Amino acid sequence: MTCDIYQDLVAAHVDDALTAVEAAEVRAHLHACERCRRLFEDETRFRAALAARRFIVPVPADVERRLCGALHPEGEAARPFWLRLSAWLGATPLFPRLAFGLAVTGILIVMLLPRAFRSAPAPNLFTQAVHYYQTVTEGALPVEYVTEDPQGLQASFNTSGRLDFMTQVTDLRPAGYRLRGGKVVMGAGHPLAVSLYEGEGEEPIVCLRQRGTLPPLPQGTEGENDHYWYTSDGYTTMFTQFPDYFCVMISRQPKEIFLQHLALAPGS
Amino acid sequence: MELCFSEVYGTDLPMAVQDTGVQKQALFAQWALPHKDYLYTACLYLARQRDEAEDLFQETYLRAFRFFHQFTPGTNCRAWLLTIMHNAFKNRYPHYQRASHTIEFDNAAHEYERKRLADGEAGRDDPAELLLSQMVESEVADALHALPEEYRSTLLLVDIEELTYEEAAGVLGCPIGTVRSRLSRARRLLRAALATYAREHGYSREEKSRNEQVAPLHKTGTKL
Repeated sequence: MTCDIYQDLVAAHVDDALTAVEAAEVRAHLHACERCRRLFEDETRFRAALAARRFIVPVPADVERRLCGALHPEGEAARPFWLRLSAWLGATPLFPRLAFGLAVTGILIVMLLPRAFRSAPAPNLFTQAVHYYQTVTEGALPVEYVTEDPQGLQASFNTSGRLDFMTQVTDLRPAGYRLRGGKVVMGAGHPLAVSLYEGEGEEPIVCLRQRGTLPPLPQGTEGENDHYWYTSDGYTTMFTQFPDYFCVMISRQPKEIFLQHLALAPGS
Repeated sequence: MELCFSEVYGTDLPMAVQDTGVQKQALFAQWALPHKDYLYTACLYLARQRDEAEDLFQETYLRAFRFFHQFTPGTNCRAWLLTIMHNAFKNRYPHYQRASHTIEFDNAAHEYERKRLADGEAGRDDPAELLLSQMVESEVADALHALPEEYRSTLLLVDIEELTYEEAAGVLGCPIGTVRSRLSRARRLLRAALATYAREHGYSREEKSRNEQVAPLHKTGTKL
């Protein structure tokens, strides 16, 4: 062991966090090196001084109050809608209740009548991607290949015999995302490779791959050179055209952060 | 091209786990909120301004509440919260992520240790210990803020937040060997800076109480 190596291990030595093999090597080195022995003594005393110092700062009352105020609406929103509505109606005098009922009836008439006379719009790639995002992240469409290894999932996809193209699986670990797994979904004769990524405290990312070329993209789509992105309804979607297939990556992150994460993927 | 959802709706649809808001709030209050002081401290030492720290603190807890279903009961909730905080910090302030500071580290820490060895002081009477016990909070914060971000984060997680090396590596998303070397460098760098500051301001071991106000490090021009 050299002094340089020991100096990078000195904290672990002081904290007694070395392996048995490392500890033996360190003991042998300290026996022969006065400089590192002194360093260890200095660092031990400094660590004790650090531990004796009280660093933890209590949350100020106004900050805690703001946090409680911000958390409360989420808890309120988690209550079933009919419970909140009945609680509100129960605490409201008769006239406002009647006015509320009339207003709801009017709104329903205005909303539902035109729908009866028009056909539903054809779903585009974005709305379909949002649908897959919701079903996969909410667990309604569970992954069948459970693995954190992108190469492993890629092999599972390509040897499944269920895809009509050879796919790749993006490695998002450099961006702090862990692969949860993937699933092959059959849709109108077109197999689709779906993969799910999760990061601690981050919005999940869902990736969809299908053979062929990108269909016409929604109005407002930006980008060029086979890379396009589109943001709407709180979702950011990245469309990429590969030689044999196209890829749709979708998340509920702001565009800048989402693109920043994707840029960290190898080969992106 | 056509994506079809019929099979999505038609096949194996498990019942989603239904967690009521009341249960979620109770569990969150039981597991996550007791760490609020630790988390607030981490935000203070990581961000450079108090208002930035308070925003980061609130964003971390809101994200944690939203993604509470991802928390694994029985694991270290403080480490989980700090991971969220670290990710939020990286997203908010990407410019704080700096390149390696090896040259500055070598100049500051090595020179100090070489001098102590030459003066025969190594292993005893380190003025850094004395100063550390006497500094007020703002001065400690200034000293920590002067550390490069990669060192500051590591020292913060292990020495202040009391995480294990494995947990700190998980929070930072780096190998455990990197945590060890960064922590070694962070402590040595902090010690060198504090000792230099103590000497410049005439601290001695006999001075048990501080009657005079010591200016924060950054105001005196002390460089780490």
